[in-house]
Amino acid sequence: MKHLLLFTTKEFLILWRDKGALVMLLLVPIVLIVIASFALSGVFGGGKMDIKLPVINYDKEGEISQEIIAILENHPNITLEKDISKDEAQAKVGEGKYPAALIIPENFSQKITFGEKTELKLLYDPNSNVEYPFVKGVIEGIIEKINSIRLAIQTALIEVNKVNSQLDPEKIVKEAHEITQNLAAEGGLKLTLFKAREETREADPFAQNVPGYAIMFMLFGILGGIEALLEEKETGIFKRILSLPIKKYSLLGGKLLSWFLIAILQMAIILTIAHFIFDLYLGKSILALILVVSTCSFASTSIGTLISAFVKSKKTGHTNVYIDYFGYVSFRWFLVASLD
Amino acid sequence: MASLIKVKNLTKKFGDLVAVNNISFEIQEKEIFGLLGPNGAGKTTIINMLSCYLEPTSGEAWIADKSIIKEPQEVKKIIGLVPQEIALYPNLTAIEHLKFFGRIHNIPSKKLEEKCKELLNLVRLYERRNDLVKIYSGGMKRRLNIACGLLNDPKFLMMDEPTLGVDPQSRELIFENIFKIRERGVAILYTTHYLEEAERLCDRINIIDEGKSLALGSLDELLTRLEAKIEIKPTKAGRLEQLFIQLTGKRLRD
Ligand SMILES: Nc1ncnc2c1ncn2[C@@H]1O[C@H](COP(=O)(O)OP(=O)(O)O)[C@@H](O)[C@H]1O
Ligand SMILES: [Mg+2]
Repeated sequence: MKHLLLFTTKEFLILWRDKGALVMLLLVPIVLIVIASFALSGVFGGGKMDIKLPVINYDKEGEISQEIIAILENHPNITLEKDISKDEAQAKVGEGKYPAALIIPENFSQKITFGEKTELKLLYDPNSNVEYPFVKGVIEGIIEKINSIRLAIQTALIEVNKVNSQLDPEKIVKEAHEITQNLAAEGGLKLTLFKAREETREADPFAQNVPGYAIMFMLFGILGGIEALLEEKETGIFKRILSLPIKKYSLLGGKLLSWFLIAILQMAIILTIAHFIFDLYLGKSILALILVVSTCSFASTSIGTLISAFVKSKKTGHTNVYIDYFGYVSFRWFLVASLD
Repeated sequence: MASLIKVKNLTKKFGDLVAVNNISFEIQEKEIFGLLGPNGAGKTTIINMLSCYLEPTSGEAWIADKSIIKEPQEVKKIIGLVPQEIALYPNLTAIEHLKFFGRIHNIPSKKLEEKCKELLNLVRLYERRNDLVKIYSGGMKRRLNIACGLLNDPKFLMMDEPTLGVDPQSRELIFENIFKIRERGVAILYTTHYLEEAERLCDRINIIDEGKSLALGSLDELLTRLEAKIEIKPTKAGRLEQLFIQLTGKRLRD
């Protein structure tokens, strides 16, 4: 056990001093993840935002709806899609083609004018991390404006009616009372939000890339470990150590333990950086995450052990077959990770 | 006096190749025993078996009465190995190497400190003890390679071509060290294909080729015994060299 730790600390010391290996283990994967994610991402790639927003207007003649549409049309980052049915819009938002769709209900303008209860509906894609929140912000701004204008108009209306009270005092008082009550009850015009699909996080290129790349580079890390082991065999270090009074399992165990720990650390560092800098979604349970990371590390360490057991020397023909195979597996993983 | 090392009919086959063929010899305390042979003669394979790295196909060997086959863990405690390769980690310093291998030998830390200092002074690396091995010269690496084999004060030291690729200064220091180590009563097995090294260092020489022992004895014994049979010409080449070529032939070994 003492020897096991001795070997493991030695491995870590050597790795720490091998800046090339550290770069390969940590920096390269992070840089690659960032590049790939930005390249694959329409959201980050475009520079200026140009959001296409379908509007389904059931309040065709309404002045207030016309006004809302005009405001949205004049917004520099929003292009409206008006010739679209509700079903089509819903389907496309559900597929992630649009970040959201605005639905204006029937008699919207009239209800607003008379202080009746009504609402704007925003159908949205929960996986749209940038565009949907932006659209929502713009529409909420409009609603706030409408609410304050409505309050002003209705207050004015009450005042005007007070002046003309000789017409029908009872009716006017009753009307004013209703309007105030409605306003108090409803708190004004509301925006109601509808999810067009369940949140999956699937669309986030970081969430898509990070784990794949992390595992790929973990395999590369193990590959580096095997190479180091072969080098030890060739440089006679292996022979020297085996000529010392030591159990063989301490030597191999030390290797395995350090590979395992290095793999876990590598994953942890990559995921942490991805989480805090690129807001990678890591799931809800830390425990589950630890379990997944450990299992992956353990699995790749096992693969490494299996291979190193077959490999006799770097120079023999067989070795290269295994190394190539391992490289091939990692490469396949890379492809799967980047195409998925 | 009973011999410290006894090697009896040691044989190692790799498939059809007989790398070591029925080799027997004994080494005394304080003796420097040379294995002299061209490349591929089987020198390293003999050392690999004596250091319990390879199991012999047949035959036996005892080091201080411990069997290399039955008691490898006991044997490993009393042997020191200087591998033919530079068996060092490029990214560790000299002192880190000595401490690492010393801890494997379970040397208590206080004693290990002293031992490290002593060995670093012996191979003249004390000043450079905190430098990484990767920036060492060939001679410095060879010297550290030797120091690493001496940590446990071995009774039996095996040195496999320890002067490969070093400059004359380092070689002189290495020779000096070998004589010092011998004075402590250590038995030394020294392999080389340099005749002049065998001539200068070794008390007795075993000339081997293709796994077989061709001649065994002190330099004088070898020469007088064989000069009778083989014609030694008074040419520029050394007498041992003529003998060596006579015994092993002129075929190139690659
Ligand atoms: N592990 C091995 N597998 C197969 N052949 C080997 C192995 N080790 C050594 N040999 C062969 O055994 C012979 C003796 O090698 P070696 O003991 O290294 O010679 P030397 O040290 O005298 O140069 C050579 O022909 C070499 O190719
Ligand atoms: Mg050799």
